Amino acid sequence: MAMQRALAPDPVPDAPHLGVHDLSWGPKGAPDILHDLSFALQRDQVLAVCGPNGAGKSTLLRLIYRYLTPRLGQVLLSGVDLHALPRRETARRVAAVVQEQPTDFALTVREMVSLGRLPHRDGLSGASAHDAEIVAAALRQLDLTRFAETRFDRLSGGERQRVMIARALAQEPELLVLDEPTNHLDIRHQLELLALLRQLGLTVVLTLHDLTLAAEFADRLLVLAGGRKLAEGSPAEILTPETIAHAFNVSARIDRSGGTPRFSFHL
Amino acid sequence: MADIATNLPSATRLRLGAGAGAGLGLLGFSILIAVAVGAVPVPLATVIDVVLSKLLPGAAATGAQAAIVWEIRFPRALLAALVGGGLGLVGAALQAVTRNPLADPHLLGISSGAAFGAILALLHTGLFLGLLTVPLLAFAGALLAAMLVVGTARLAGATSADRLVLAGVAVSFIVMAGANILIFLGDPRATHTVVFWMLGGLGLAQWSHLIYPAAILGSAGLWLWSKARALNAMTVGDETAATLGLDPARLRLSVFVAGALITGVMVAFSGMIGFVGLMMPHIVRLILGGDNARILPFSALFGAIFLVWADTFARIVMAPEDMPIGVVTGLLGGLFFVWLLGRRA
Repeated sequence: MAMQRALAPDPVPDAPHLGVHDLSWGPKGAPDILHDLSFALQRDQVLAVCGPNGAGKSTLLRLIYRYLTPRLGQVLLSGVDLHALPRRETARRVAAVVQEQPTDFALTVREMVSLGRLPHRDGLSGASAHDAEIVAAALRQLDLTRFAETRFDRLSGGERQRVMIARALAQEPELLVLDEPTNHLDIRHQLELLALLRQLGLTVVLTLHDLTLAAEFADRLLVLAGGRKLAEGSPAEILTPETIAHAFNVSARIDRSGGTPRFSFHL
Repeated sequence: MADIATNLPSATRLRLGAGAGAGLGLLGFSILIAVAVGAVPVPLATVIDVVLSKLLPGAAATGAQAAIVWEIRFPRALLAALVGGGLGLVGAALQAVTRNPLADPHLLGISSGAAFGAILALLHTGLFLGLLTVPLLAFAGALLAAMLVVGTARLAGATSADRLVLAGVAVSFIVMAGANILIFLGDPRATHTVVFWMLGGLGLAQWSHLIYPAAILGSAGLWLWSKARALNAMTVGDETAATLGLDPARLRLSVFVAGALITGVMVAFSGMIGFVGLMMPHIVRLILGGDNARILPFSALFGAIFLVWADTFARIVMAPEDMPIGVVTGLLGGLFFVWLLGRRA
């Protein structure tokens, strides 16, 4: 492992933790659907990507967690191009929770979380004691220990989402990417999940539909519309009636009297 | 602290080891029974005597019974075990990479491709590569069919795994039509043999041939097993597999190639035997859960035991005639499918 690490390029000291530069992508033989996107994120900050349906949010995330390859531009983690690394090396740095939740194959919660150790080991070599400890710690952190031997498909939607996050944490990533993690969760589970993400001490990029939640939990906001960056900054700077009108094509009223801003929207 | 050195509690590991031992014992016992029964029954003690005399230097068993046991029934039972093991294993691996619990080499058109290649060799090209002609062309046909399935799914814009089985069914029909044309155009005197071979049969088993299915199952099977954890990731989804450092499209393609290799050689030596690859992984998942590190070897083991018994049944039900074994597995497989439907509904 030490040798493989040595092969990877050294991090650049002054670089932001996540740097996205002039990123463009489109499907094969079709025009770009993400245009020339750039932004930076400091270590341990939480970035919420917002925007209407079809704005390119999921595409951006897929380029960061390397499911898609950029047509132009780079994704840098501590100054190192993630797409130039061996795949396993990327997987040791970036973990993602996507919206896939399989139920046809009877993996247990512990087996599912153990998948996170995959980029850290070779072929048939069994899980080491170290791997087992990390899996156990991830299960504890998400309060899943009592479900460890339960089959994944027997769990509720919220529990499954927590298993997927535990799996991502077992990857020991520096950067955690989550696509719509609050989808299908009730309000309590949404709040718990976002509070948990804040406590992880990881750099986090996630997509959120709910602007109130984004304002409350994110350090930074990136608003996309039509595959382009509309605005980027702190929630207070970004969530203005003007930006919201521009991005979502609705008029918004913002009540900041109670600390966290409250939004009401009208056509 | 040894028991945290794995994903599993130590009691489970112990049970798995015991299960594997019991399974292998059952397989050995099944093979002995299969050798003993038939049109000419041979006492089990004689079977064991013959085996021991062949394995141990010195006393050599002779006579008609020894010849039946050693030259005819033993290679046949071993071929049944190899074919069943191979089909069970390939089914399990294909189900993981297509993320579809209905996938199996038969349903995905890989068996049809292998049959096409084998028929081409048997009826048209002649054995221009010697004994290896049929398995090699069967592998080529299986590989071609597998590539057609992957290509069709990609062409239809279904890069994800869900459409692969549908593409497989389509390819299976087309390739089977091609195989039937080959039979139609072939020498009528030879077609009877070929049609009978296609229905599935292990009657041509010989010691000297067993090395080919054994070597392919050993090597391709071990390679698939070494990918068990990657296959677990593939059952979650392509995107998740990619974030775990895998290249899902490439892994799927290599599993299809390994599956075509195993299926090709099995079809060449035994004809079309369906449903083993579909049934065995289901039964194993019901008993042992979803970890492919367990599913792959146990699907092979269950498949081997199943086919040894299916072939024994096929030999005795209409003795002294052999019933085509594809009839037995097709009947059981169809009923299993109905049961599966009822269970899911």
